Amino acid sequence: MATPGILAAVCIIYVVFLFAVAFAADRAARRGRGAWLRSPLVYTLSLSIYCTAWTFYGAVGFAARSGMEYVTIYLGPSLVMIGWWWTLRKMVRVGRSQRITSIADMISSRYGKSNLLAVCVTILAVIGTTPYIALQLQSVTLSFAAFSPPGPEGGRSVQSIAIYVALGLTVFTILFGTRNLDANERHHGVVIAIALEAVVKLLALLAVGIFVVWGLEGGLAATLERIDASPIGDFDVSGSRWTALTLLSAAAFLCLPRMFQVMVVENEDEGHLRTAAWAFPLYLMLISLFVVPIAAVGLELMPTGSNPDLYVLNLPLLAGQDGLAILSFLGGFSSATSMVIVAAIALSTMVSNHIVMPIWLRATGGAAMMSGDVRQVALLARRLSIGGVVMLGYLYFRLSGGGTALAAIGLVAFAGVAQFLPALMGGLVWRGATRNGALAGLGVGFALWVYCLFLPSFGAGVILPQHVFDAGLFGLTWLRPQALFWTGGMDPLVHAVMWSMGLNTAAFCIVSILGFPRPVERLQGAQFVNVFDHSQSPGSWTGGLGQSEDLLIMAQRIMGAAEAQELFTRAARRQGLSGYLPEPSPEFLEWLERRLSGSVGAATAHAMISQIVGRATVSVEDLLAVADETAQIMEYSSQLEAKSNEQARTARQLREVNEKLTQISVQKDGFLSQVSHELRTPMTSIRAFSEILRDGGLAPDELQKYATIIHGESLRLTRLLDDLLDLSVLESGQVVLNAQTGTLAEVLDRAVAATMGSVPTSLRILRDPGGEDVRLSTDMDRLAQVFINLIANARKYCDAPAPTLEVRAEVGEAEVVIDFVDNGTGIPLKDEALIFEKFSRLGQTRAPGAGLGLAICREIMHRLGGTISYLPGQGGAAFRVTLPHEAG
Amino acid sequence: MSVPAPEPPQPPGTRPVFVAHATYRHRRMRDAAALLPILGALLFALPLLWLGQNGGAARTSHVMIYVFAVWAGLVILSAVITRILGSGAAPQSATDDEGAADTRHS
Repeated sequence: MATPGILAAVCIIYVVFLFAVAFAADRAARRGRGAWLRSPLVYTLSLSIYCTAWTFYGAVGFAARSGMEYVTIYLGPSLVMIGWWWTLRKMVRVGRSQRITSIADMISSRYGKSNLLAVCVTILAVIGTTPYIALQLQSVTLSFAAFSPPGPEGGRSVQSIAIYVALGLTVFTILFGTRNLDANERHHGVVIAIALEAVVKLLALLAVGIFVVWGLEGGLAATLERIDASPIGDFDVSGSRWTALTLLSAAAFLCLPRMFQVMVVENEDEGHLRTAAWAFPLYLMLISLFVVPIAAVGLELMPTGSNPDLYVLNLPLLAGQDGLAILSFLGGFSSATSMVIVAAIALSTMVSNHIVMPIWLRATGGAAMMSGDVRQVALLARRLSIGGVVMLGYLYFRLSGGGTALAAIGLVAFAGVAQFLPALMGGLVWRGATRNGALAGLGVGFALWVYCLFLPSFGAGVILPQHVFDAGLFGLTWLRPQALFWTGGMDPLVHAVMWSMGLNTAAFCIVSILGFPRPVERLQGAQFVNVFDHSQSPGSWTGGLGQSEDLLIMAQRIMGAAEAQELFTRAARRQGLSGYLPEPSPEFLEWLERRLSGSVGAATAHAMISQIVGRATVSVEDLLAVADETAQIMEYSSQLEAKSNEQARTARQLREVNEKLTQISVQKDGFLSQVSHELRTPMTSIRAFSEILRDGGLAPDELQKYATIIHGESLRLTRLLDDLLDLSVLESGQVVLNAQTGTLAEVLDRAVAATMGSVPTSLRILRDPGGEDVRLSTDMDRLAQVFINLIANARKYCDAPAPTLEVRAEVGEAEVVIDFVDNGTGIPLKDEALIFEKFSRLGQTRAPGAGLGLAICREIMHRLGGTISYLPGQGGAAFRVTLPHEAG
Repeated sequence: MSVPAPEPPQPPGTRPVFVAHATYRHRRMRDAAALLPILGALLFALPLLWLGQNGGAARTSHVMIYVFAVWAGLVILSAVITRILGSGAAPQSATDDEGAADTRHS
């Protein structure tokens, strides 16, 4: 007989082996090797955490109590998997494109990144999972007890097994589950260990089954006869229970946090679903194949009163097959541990991202940006949560005393998490689903689940007193927990599932229909429901004034310095910039938000980015209102197009107007952001240096230096404001022109003197005295301003080794034409259209200036009745100024 | 089981009436993939209507053999359908609802 000592040794060897495998897989993955780690087979096997100790031990117990009914628990998931085209494909796509970290994150993301919803889902998930973890610990303890000699001493030592198992699982999960912060990254070590355990439990159950059928019974035919002769020989399953259990298991398969973790979060490749679509049902089929034979034989051979949940273990022991019994024990151990590990990872991600981190961020407030390391806090939060979740399970196990039949707890937990289904599926297929609807549905469903199923599951008189069962809450007969609204005569489970799911869905739909979602919800709704249509999402950030540096500081805190810097450099390079700081374009901000949400969850990432860029930007609501209007206009014009010719013409006009408006709006936005940018740069240095001055304690020469900088920057600011003022006066047509007379030569002399006098320069100016001798009657000061600008531009930008500017004047019939041609490289063709625009500075500018000069020139010439244009093909930059030739 | 995802909104007149043979076959396979779970659910519910030989309950062993046979059949069908769907033989046209490549930059 195998003693608990041998068993413990086998256990420890097995666990060490699992650690080694997980460690090797992690290392291989980090070195980029091990493509097999990402194979569809591993994905399929990892899905098998659906089969917990409840399957391994409980399914036989279930079958021994109610025959074929146990199979519904595996039919539901099989049908979901076979129907992957309907739901799983979409869930996985959404999960990958939105970098979802957990089911709470999925639901919160869908409903406008609402953290309230995430907190609710997290709490419900913890409540629904804790009994299940307790169940796993209980099964390990029970299976140990099966090997130990009966007696009080053995019993006590076996009780302490649970705490060792809980501790070991916590260590394993923390080691391999929180290696990297980004919960969206794959936990290769964990996944491979689970896949291995999946193989062990399948082999163990098949081995016991084969031993029972061919070893104990002597063949298939004999076994079938034995089944029909046993107490479970009649197939008297109630239709409602059969259907309800199938639906319930299908719903739980989609909603269980641990299933979501392996199915969506750990998914490497959508293509893996195609393999899992048939391989996972096959796995489920194999694992439930021998359940009824084992149950029937157990009922026959085992003494009456023995626990049917342990037939898998006790039948080999009874037959003296110690090796098989140990294998069977390892199978059950594998089932229990893999479930606890994945459930702890999934729940800890939810707890730390949606409860601990938001509280921590709020508690530290702005200080979070200044000191402390968010990364460390997040990792610590996750590790503590893992410990907390496992210990909560252990406490539940100790307090509940481990008395209830295994399968009962399992179904209660299933019904609890199934409450997520309406919000989850509704959110994926119905754009009208709202956050309030989801909250209402979850609230109603969960309350009913607690009242009708969870509390009664402890038995009458434990939590709910007997009189509540008989006469209802407050003596209201329609509030009896197992006969709500006078609907008696039903199986309690079917009753609870029907009412909780039904009213959950009803509340979800009604509140959604009556309410009006916020814009973010509508945006996310469209992205989730139409995930296959558009891979690109409409921008929700406008980052004109966002500060890349602050973003970098924040990202470093979350992701770690090296990774964040690498990320930002890459983004900057993609935008064609060098250095670490990309422009905070909407695309970049949205992309960053998604990256961060992989680490801290969607709601937190959204809040953090809006803390930095949200202040000075247009709100998402505003943008969406605009987007809605534009979308409506476009829809309208496309409808018109489909009608008669005349209407089509109207539509075309509308579209043109629309385009023009859009262009104007874009120009306006560009101008505004340029102005703010230009004003901001000098302001920033003035502010910084004046702060240094204010703080005092500087040497006199430093004082001098800083004051000079401030002075210089103020001058620059003044110049810019003057230019802007000048431009706006010119543009609005309020300028007063002083008509004077003089010769062109005089004006040019003035301009040359003004530009060349102050600064030493190598620019040589070639003049044409003959042509310049022409009298003009115009505003001489303004004209000189234009010339000064053109000469100054040549001085600044002409890049020839010996820069030369040729000024040619020609008097025509009606106008005077003055050309300014230098010998530099000129302006590229594509930029010619831009140079007269405000703030257009070409390429990497070396020279200072806001890029307003040519725009002002154009406005002046317009006012003077002339033109200024760029003259291509002159071997350098060439500008042509024409003036009306009046006085002659 | 949920409602199918709605077809993406298409501007009128841009969806071709006739598609290449391979594309057509590929789309019908998608329909088959979508219908398979419904077939499975119906078949699995069938034993509830069975009667035993003497008007009593059906035998557990018969139900067991039936359920596992249906199960195996579904696995095989699912494997065949997904194999065809995954072979990528179907050219993805622009109007195909899964043709949109993920162009996001992360």
